[in-house]
Amino acid sequence: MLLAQNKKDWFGNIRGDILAGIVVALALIPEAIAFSIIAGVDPKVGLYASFAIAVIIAITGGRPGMISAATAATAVLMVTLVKEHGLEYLLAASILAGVLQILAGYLNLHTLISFISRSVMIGFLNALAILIFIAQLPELTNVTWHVYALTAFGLMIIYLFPYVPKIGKLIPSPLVTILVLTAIVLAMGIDVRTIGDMGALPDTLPIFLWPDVPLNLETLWIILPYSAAIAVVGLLESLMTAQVLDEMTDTDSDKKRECKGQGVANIGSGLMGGMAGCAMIGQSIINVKSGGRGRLSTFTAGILLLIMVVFISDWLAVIPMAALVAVMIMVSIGTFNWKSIPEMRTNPKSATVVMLATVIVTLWTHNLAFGVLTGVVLAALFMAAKLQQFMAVEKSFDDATNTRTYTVVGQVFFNSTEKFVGYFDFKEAVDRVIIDVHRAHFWDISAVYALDKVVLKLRREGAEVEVIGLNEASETLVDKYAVHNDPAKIAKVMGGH
Amino acid sequence: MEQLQQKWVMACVDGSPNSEAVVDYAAWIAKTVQSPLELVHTLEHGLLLEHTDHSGNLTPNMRDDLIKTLSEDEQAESKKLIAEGKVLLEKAKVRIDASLIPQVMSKQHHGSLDETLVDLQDEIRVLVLGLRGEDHAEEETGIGSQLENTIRALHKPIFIVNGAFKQPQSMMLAYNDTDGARKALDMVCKSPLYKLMQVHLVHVSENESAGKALLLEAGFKLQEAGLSHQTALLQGDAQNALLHYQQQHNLDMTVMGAFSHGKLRSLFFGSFTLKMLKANNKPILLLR
Repeated sequence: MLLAQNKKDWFGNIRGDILAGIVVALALIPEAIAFSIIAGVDPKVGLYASFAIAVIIAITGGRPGMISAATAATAVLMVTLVKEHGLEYLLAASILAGVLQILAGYLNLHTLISFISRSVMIGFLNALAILIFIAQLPELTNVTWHVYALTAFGLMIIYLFPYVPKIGKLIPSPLVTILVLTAIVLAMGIDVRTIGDMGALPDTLPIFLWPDVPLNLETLWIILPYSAAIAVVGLLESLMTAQVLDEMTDTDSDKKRECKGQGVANIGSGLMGGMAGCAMIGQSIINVKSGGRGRLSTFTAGILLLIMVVFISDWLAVIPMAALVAVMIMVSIGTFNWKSIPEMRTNPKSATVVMLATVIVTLWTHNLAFGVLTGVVLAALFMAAKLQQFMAVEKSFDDATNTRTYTVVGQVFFNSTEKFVGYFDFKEAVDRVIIDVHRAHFWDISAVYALDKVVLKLRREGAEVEVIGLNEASETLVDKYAVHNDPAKIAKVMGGH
Repeated sequence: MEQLQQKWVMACVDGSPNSEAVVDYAAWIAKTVQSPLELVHTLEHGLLLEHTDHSGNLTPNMRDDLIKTLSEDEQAESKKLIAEGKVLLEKAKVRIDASLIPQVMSKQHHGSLDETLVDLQDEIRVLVLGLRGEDHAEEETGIGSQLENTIRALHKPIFIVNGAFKQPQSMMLAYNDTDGARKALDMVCKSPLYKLMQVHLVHVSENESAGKALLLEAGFKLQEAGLSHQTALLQGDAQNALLHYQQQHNLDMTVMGAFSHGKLRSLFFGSFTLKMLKANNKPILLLR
């Protein structure tokens, strides 16, 4: 069964996968170089990483057709590590990040992705797009007008070339941009920065090498914070991208396997002199658009990338940075969720706040994990505030027995306990008080504590207090319900609310 | 809910040449064992590659646009497949004399045949399917490896058809000294399907005395169940011996157990089943 599924994942779409793999490989090269520059390492680090990650994830990943390589999301996390400790520590951090990701896979942490709401996800993508754009700014400041002209012309080619009849849909427009801009710069002898100015390019195939760092606790404490951030952000983007691809192709993926696969890929990348990476949402979409569906597409992209890079590295060096910047602006524009801007007016305010908070905190910290954490916490708080409204207490009074009855309906939990207590009139002198909670739900011990407090207070005022239906109300108190998917049991616990 | 938990004779209907025979055999089984009959048509989706382009750029909102395009393609494809399947299912229903079967239902299910079988396995009493499906009509290998693995994992009786329907009057029960074979014998004894058939209980062994004892014991069980039967002890290579016997007596179907070990294990669903089906176009029932 497993083998048969494997065969389908690998060879179910050979022609489509290979063609898409070529398109993706061509687009990966400028991105890998750009992300190396973001991280502050030589372009070859990103290129080796992209090769290693793409090839390994093709085998180990849980989402066929998804493209993983060196990414902006992880690159921005490495900047200070590289600056303060150098490349070898980055390689070690990549390996440790991989180990953490494998661990996360075994601990089923992929299930936590369900806490990420749509608003947080949009915030994540928007923040990522802005980060990519900001990273291009150094190439666009203090430069001659040539650079602006070249970049603008490059963008024009990227967006307009696909409309050229016939060849427009056959030749990747980012490739055309790079070729045309390089040709212009060489022919006219314009003096602009080129990729060759940014550091070493690969000249050999990668070799396995253990990072040259002292194996002691001191090293561990240096790299652990970076590794943890890379592991978290890498898994976040990978799992989100997997969801997008699931939706796009109407197929399922194995998220647990993806977590472990990302870990193996990052370990492999670190050992081959590459930085850590993760799934790339833009490239994965390009892959699907180009007809890539299976593992072969990712594999082809990785192998081709390496072959091209090693054999044409002399040519890579003369590509003007303006061409790279044009490609990266395209990636930024493509990653940004433009609909989220008009949607701010129509969506509930809480959704917009969550999205913007995710973006702002990310840009502030340059760490998508913090942005997502902020978004998730905010979304949970908004949810609690919303549920808090679903609680009311009705009062009735029986003159004959001098009895006050409070009927509680709805959700009682930490956020609504204050409101709950507020419904009771402690100044009223009555003989008996009945608190009927059988239609209420006590979600946590705060609720139980609040009820105890109310009962105690009423007794102090001299009333006989009776609580009705506490068993029904506290059925929701336990952390795990044995109801699972049984509609009858859920209906019983929820009592038709 | 009630209906879902019922066990069905399930016939896999597609546009292949064997499809009509599959329906006929399934109807015959349903009628004889008085079980409801379900006709299942699977909608196997393609990879949706119509709108592929290699322009390689990312345009604003491409993700949403691409999801929209792909969904539209898939919707059109699904609608087409559903309509085609409905025609097939209607045709199949017309072939069936529904008055003699407790209940006849038809169902369409998204996914490949093996996915469908995994999803629906709890409903299956007997699975009836053709040797080669629509998409594999030209293939020499018969049942695809993927389907084969699914069927192996499916612990239900499977009736494989490769040829026009003929109401079986006789059958060969391949028997040996394994739990799987004994279980198959047990099922044959209990089922009303074989009441009107001549059962040929066949065993292949070099050890004459042990073989005879085995057949005697098994034959006694058949007699107890009131099944008309004869036994045969064959020698030589199991595959060829069984095949030869089946042809010689022109038996209408073959019944085998799932042999968990022993000589016949490799024959169970591999080359032997295939050879048998091809040699005489008579169906095979695999019991587990």
